Amino acid sequence: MKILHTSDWHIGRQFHNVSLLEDQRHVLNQIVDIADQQQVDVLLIAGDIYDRSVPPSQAVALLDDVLDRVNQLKIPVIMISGNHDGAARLSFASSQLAQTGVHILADLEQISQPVTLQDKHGDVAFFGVPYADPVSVRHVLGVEASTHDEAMAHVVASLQSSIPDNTRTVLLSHCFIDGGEESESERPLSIGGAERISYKHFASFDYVALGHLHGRQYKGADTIRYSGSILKYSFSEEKQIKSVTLVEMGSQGVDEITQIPLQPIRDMRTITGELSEILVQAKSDPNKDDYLQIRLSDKQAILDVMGKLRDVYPNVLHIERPGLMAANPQQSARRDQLKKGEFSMFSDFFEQVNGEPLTKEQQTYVSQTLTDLHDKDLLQKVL
Amino acid sequence: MHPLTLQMCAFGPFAAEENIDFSRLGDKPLFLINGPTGSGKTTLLDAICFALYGKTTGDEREGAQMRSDLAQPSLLTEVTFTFELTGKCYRIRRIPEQARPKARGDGFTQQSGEAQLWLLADDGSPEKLIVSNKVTEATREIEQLLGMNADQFRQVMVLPQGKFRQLLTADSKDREHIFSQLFQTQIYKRLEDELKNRSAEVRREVDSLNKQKTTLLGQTGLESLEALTEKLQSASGETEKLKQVYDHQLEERVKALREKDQAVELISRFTQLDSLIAEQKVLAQQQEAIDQQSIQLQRHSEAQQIVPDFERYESSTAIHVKHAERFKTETEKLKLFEQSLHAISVEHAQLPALKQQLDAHKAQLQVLLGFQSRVQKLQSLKDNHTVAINASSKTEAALGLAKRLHGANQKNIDETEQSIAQLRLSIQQSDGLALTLQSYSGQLEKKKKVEQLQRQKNTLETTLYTSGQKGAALKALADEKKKVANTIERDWHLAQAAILAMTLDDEAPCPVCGSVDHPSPAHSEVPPPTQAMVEQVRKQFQEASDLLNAERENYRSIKTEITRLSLEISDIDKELNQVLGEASHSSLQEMQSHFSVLKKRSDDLQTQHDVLRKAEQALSGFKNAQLPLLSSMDEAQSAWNAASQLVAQELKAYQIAEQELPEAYRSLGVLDAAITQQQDTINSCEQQLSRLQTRYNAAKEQHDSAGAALGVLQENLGQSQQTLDAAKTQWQASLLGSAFESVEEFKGALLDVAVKDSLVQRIEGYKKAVQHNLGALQSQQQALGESVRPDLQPSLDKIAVAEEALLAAEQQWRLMHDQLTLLQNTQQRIATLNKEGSALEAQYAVVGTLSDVANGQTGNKVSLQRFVLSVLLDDVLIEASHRLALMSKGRYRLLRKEDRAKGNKASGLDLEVEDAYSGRVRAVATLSGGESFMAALALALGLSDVVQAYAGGIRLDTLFIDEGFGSLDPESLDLAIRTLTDLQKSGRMIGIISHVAELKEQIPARIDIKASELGSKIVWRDAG
Repeated sequence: MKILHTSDWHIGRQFHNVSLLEDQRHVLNQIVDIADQQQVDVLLIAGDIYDRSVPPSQAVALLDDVLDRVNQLKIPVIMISGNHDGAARLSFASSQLAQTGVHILADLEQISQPVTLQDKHGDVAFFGVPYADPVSVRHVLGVEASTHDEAMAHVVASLQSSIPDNTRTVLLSHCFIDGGEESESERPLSIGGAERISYKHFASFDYVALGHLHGRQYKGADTIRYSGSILKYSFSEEKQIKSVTLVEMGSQGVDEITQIPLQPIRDMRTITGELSEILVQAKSDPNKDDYLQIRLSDKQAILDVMGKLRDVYPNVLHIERPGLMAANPQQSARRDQLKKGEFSMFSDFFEQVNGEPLTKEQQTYVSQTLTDLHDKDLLQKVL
Repeated sequence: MHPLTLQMCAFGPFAAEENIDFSRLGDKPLFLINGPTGSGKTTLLDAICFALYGKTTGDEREGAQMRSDLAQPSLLTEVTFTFELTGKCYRIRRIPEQARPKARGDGFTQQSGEAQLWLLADDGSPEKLIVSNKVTEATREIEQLLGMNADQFRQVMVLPQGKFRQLLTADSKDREHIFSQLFQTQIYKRLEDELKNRSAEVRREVDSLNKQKTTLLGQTGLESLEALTEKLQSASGETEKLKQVYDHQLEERVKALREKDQAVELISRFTQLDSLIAEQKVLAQQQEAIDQQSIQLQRHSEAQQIVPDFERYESSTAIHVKHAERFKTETEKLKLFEQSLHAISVEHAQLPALKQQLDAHKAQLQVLLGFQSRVQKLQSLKDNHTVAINASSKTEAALGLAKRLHGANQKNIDETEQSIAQLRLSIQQSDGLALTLQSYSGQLEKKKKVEQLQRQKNTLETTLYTSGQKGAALKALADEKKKVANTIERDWHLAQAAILAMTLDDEAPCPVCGSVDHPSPAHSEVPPPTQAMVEQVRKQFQEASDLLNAERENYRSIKTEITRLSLEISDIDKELNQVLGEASHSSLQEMQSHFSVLKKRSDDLQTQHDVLRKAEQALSGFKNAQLPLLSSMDEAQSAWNAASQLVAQELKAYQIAEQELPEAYRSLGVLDAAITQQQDTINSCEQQLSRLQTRYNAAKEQHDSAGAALGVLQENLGQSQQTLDAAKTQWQASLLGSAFESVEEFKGALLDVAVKDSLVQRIEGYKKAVQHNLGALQSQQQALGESVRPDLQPSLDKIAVAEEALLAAEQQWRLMHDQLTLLQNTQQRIATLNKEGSALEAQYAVVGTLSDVANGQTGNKVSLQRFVLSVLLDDVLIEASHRLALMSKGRYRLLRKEDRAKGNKASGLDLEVEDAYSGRVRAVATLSGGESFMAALALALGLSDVVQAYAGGIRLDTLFIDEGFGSLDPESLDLAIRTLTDLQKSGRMIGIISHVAELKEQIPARIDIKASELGSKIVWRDAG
């Protein structure tokens, strides 16, 4: 059996106010093509199909197109909801869709009902664990769990009894495995830490198709694997390769795992340098349409930077000016004076306003006045 | 401030009691307050703000209006809020003013607002009640604790709904207000004010100086200081002139006065003359009386001549009468003395009888005194006797003791001798035991050795057996190995053939046999062993046989040792057998017990020897003591005998002495009493005798002296009669010779001395007065001569005129002088004021400049405090820009507007925003709704960061954001949440109020509010 594993589509995502829908359509078509060429038996999507729980209509239309194409190829699809998805919305009409081969597993209460597919070696059971926070798990399973790790332990334990004998098993899950490499574009699952789980919970499955982390990677075992997102969704991912994972399942489990790279319309990268250099370089840049983050090392202020850059690179999304953000030396000097005390502060102020330093007489007068004020304070405190 | 719990009753949309435990949301959480519009999300903030300050967050809803209309009338609206501040927990409870049903009957009564503030102990129980009831006091206490008032709390702890732009666009003045409170920079403001006040004061002082100067000049009616100087000069000249006029008038007046005085004197002389003439007339009238008094005086002097004779007669008569009286009294006294003498004479006659009685008593006393020495002797004899008896009994006791000691010693000697004899007998019986013991000990040692050797032998026999077994096993192994080695070696040889056979080619000759035909080439059934294998097997065999040989050697050495041991054992056995015979077969244990019996007996014998030696020593000691004891007994016996003899002697002497004394006087006490009595009697007799004699002598002497005195008196009486007669004769003769007719006339002419003296004086005074009057009259008349009596009036008039002129001159002069003084004073005071003024101006040069600069009245309109705050604001903006850049995807940075504001408006704390896209700086007001929300959020976060960092600042560790998220696009929302998440990691509690559904999915910690027509309720997510 050939399984095509992908996740984190984030359909409808905007990046720096630019809609990535066109890029996503391009890549998703590639995935359908791969599924066709590789004659895969099933397509797995491990969560975060949409970017928002209430997706824009174009996003819904795009998913509809993609699923339609896959369905025409008679390839079953199994998907779970991720932390970005609105589980209830995503699973609209899921039981009807299941009859046509699109299995949307978004209900925590039905996790013990696997989707079973056959090949020449027999049955393969696909279990989908939709993303759920510990509070929901606590509520649905009636167990005590305050961290994601505990919650996952309970979820997997509740599955164990439903696994048929002598059947190969595949698990879909949307979670953060401890030790995994993060990217900026992932939304934290839990605020304040306890979001990570141990890979050990998944040891008993033949293959675990994971979603959530946007970099492709595996943890614990070769078969506990993140396919990664389909596109670079932040500049922190510019060095990552985006791909889908093709898993060949033999009679005893996974035989072979291949990662098939995806080709986006526009790459995402960072260019560092002074404005003039960048403008010169741009003329010979073949990928002018790429999504760019530009780090300007110029120290002086420049008018209409964005306009100038967009003339050559139409998709400049972010400009950083590390040179300008450096702290002003005068400022830190003043801060020191503030810490030194009132008199020092006053002298600085006087000099700045009057253009000349305090005379000796004035110094004496100011310090005397300050002493009087402090004495008065003390007196008030004592009284 | 960290909220801990919030409890609301009938507050806002919440009809019943609601409890919120913030700790259920986690430690310093980022949480969401979610609920439909109008359900009361902001009311939660209102409740916190109301609990703290009695005001709501928006300040649009009054505390008193917060009562829920849906609540039961009996349920009182109240809010209790517990919070933590710098490690301490406080609880505040407030009840707003409201109508409440009466406890009895219908109708409502007004519940007044009240508030309580507690400091809580660690376990949450109230530790100290800080404020008990007063609403204003609680508010003040809270302001002091948190360091901010309600307005500031609303601005920095809460980003209020629809008002976040205010924080961003507040002008310098408003921002200064908040910042100065937050950063506690009031000292700078106070420095500004102080400088301002001081400079104003200096200015005021200068003003008042100028006013004083003007007033002074005004008093002189002059315009300027120059005019004053001029006027002063002219006034001084005029004053001098007037002074001269005044002096002249003064002289004129003196002259007039002198003339008047002369006239007055003349008038008085005329008056004196008149009085003298009048006096003369009075004196002439007195002449007649004075003449009569002179005659009286003369008669007195005549009478005075015969006064001595008359007086002598009078005194003689008096003396005679006195003598006669004295004689009569003395005669009577003599008669009394005679009577008393007679009485005493009778008593005196008994004197001889009394003397006899006294003598008898004295004799008796002598007898008794003789007895005294005898009684003393008797007493001493008796004492001697007692002493002798005591000595005798002591010697008797000593004798008894000596006898007892002697007897006891004798007994010891006898007993010791007896025990010595017994011991000697028993020692003799045990002779030869020591020898037996020694030999037996040697045998025992040998027996022990035999036993030990036997044990060694047994052990070795066991080892020998084991070694045999092991040898057999090793033998079998070696055989096996040998067999294997042989097999392998054979196989190898066989295989060599097979290997060789494989190399054979058809038609090629065999290297062994040379045949070109190979009908049956050798081939191996098993894989051919290699040379190495063969060698390994051989080596294994070699190792096995080495082990076997070693074991055999071991076996042999053990066997030799056993033989040696057996020989040794039989040697010793034989030796023992010779000595002990049959007993040598008894076991070691039996022998040991026998030995210990022998050993014990030997020890006993040794003990007996020691006892015997000690007994012998004791015996010789007792015998030595016996001889001294015997001699001391003899001594005691002889001493007792001597003492008994002495007792008998003493008794005899005492009995003899006793018979010499009468029985009554044998005791010394009785005798002494008798003697004392006798002596007393003698003394009293003697006293009686001498008293009687003395009285008789005194009476006799009295009587005799009285008789003699009477004789003298009789003689005096006769003499005085003669003197009287002579005096009488002379007086009668004198009276006849005088001018007086009778004694009465004589007596009448005599005058009293005082009367006579006054008469003499009066006559003399009169004569003198007449003479004086005449002299004075004559001299006065001479002096006046031809003078006429003058008239006084004209001279008086002249004086009046002079006085008037003088007064006028003085007035003029004084007026001028006063004016001059005034002018001089004014000049002086103005000079002083000028000096003061210049000092003040110098002072103002310092303080005025400082004040102007500090208060921002020069240059760029920045005051000192605002300058300080601008430094702080720069810090805040660095933090805020950092966050804003993150949220705006690097587009915006917040800057402080450094340009000076137009007109007089305060500046220095206004904000601007830099747009990285355009590179331009523009006003914050130009930001869009969502952008300004992000900017406000960034500013609030930056502010709390910097405030926390400054030591003097206030703790801003909690932030509530009331709505505003609805204005963000999804991506910005994500970035904003990410910013808040980062912030929450730095230990701040952040509460977000929003109904944006997206947030609900992103923030698991939340308080849900469910609205219904019966009022809202708080629903905990995990509870259902």
